[in-house]
Amino acid sequence: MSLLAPPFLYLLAAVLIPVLGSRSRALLLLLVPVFGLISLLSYGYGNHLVIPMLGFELTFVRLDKLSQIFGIIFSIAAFLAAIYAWHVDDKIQQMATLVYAGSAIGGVLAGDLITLFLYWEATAVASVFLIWARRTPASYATGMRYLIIQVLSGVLLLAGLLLHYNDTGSIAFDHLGLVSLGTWLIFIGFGIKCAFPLMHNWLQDSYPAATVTGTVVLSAFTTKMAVYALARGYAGTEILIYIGAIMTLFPIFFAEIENDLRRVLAYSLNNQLGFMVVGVGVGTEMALNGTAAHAFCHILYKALLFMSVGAVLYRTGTSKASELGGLYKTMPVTMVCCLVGAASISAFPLFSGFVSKSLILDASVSNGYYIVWFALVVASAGVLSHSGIKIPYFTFFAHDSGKRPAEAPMHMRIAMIITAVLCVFIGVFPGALYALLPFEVDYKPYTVSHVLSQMQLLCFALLAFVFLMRNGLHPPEERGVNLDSDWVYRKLAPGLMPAIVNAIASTVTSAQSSAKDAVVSFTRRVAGISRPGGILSVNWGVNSMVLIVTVMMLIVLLFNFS
Amino acid sequence: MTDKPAKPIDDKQEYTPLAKRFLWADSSSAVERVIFYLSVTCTVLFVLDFIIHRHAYAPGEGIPGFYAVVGFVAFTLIVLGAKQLRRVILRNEHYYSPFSVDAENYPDAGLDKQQYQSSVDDTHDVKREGG
Repeated sequence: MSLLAPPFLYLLAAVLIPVLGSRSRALLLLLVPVFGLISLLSYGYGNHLVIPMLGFELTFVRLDKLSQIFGIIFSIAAFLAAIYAWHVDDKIQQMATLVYAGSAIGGVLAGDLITLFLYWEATAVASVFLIWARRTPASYATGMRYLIIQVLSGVLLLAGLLLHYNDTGSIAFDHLGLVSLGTWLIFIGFGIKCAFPLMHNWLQDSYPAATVTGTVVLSAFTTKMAVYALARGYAGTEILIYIGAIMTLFPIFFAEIENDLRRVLAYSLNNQLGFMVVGVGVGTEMALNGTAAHAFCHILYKALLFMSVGAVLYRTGTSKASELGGLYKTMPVTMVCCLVGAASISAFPLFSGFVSKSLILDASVSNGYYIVWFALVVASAGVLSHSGIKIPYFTFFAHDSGKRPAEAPMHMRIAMIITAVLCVFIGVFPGALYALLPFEVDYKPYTVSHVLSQMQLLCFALLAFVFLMRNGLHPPEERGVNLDSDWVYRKLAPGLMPAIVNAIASTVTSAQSSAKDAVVSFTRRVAGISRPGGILSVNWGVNSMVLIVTVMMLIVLLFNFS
Repeated sequence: MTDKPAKPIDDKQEYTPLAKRFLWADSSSAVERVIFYLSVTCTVLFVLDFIIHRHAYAPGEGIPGFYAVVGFVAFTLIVLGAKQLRRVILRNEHYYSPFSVDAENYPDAGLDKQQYQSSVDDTHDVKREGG
């Protein structure tokens, strides 16, 4: 039975991958999430699979409503990604997907910090293969950067957990709070994976470098596992409210001018994480419900958007806005699914984002965080600009690129349609989602005030888009790279390296030469006084020799006198 | 994988029924009509704000037109702000090469490119290289 627990089931299936044929592998990827979900739902609330190991009791399955909802959505995401990746015939990607999804589920089910750490590192190591599977030197370099940062996050978690254990004698993964150096280190470890401001660039760097299907898989797990970990360990930590508010705002500007649509979506993912982090920071039951609900909806619509842009990449070979446009003519199904994803992330009423984001906004305003609430409202208008309008408009409409790609393959269309239907279903019947939330929900998203205010915000933002386009104020899509804080470790530090090396080298060289000069001049002096006529070459008489010996004996006697 | 044999598809009759429903997007008069409907919707929503009492939590939220103004102004400032940001941070696609994927083509082995032939001139192929 224990081998069939969700995380182990995925890892067991991954071991089978090398010996299976092409279609059986694709089928396995499809079936494992189904059985994983059944297995997850068969457990009752509480701790299961508590295994003593190295003097610790490791809890591999801790099920409560918070871990359950994340386990469910991770299983759904793995299933949808498997449909989307039905054509993939690459053992490395398939194995990586299983280990990665299994570890992420293992991470949210972990009942103690050591188990969490094991899965935390496993997600890092497994997921990098989805980037390397692109098999170009550039993707190798990108993967290395990704791996270094992910492992750094794990090392911080490990260091923090050791200090925390030393302080408290407990490895339990419950509420931690920022109370000691150990809990701070764990917090930063979580923060890296959650893409806190200035720790975020691994996300935008690596996700566009992964394979067409790999990015869909990547988008679901790592960051949401970190959101779960924050919700578990740091609910109600006030600093998270401000971190989250900044996260919702700054990526919008970068997303707006980014040309690679998969990177636009990565910035947009970062912005959506901000909403969840604000929810964790507020920390009330309603706010945590909002975080869990938003993570659930977000995984679906973000996967849907990555799927539709991925399908375009799969058919045209590019995901750059400057190269696309007018694709609705030949990829209408992909276009409609993309529009559903865009409407969901923009939180139009009747779409999933509306019923989850409003929980977080209401929680922040009703707890008196007015400035943060206002930042979230502004960010909501920003979401419309880059994910709601830019992605579908510049891909499928705008100027005609002349490209007439074939519609996405059948399995991709099926994956996109199912995901799109889920987005609409949640938007229309929010009760189904609310029933899964960690706390009792007493909330009605569809009130007149709510729908009216949201429609005003979005329609007037659309009007602003029309105004900007008409007056030629909207920035055109341009090829290029936009600098972000990763410039520091990708360009500045490597650029400074030669100067630092040169400085060290020249210091060493000058020290060596001055030492050499000193030796040479000393040797010359010794040679000078040893030459005929020099002080050392003088013939000494017996009398003076006796005098010298007497003086030396006297010195020896004096030193041994006491 | 190689491209499938091209077939002309700019004959609108060959589009799928779903695609045909969106052909208005290429007609400027239809787009004008859509913009007109959007303007009407916005006007109605704005007027409704004076009629329906919205439940307000934050100071200022209850002022009629609050969300309309915030939506329009925030969107405009974000886009114009991003435009200024681009002047500072835009670099050539090869800036990080060869250690980034920005300038490389996605390897064909992972794709199944299928392109129908088009009669539209591919004139905007390469825009200004940033720098």
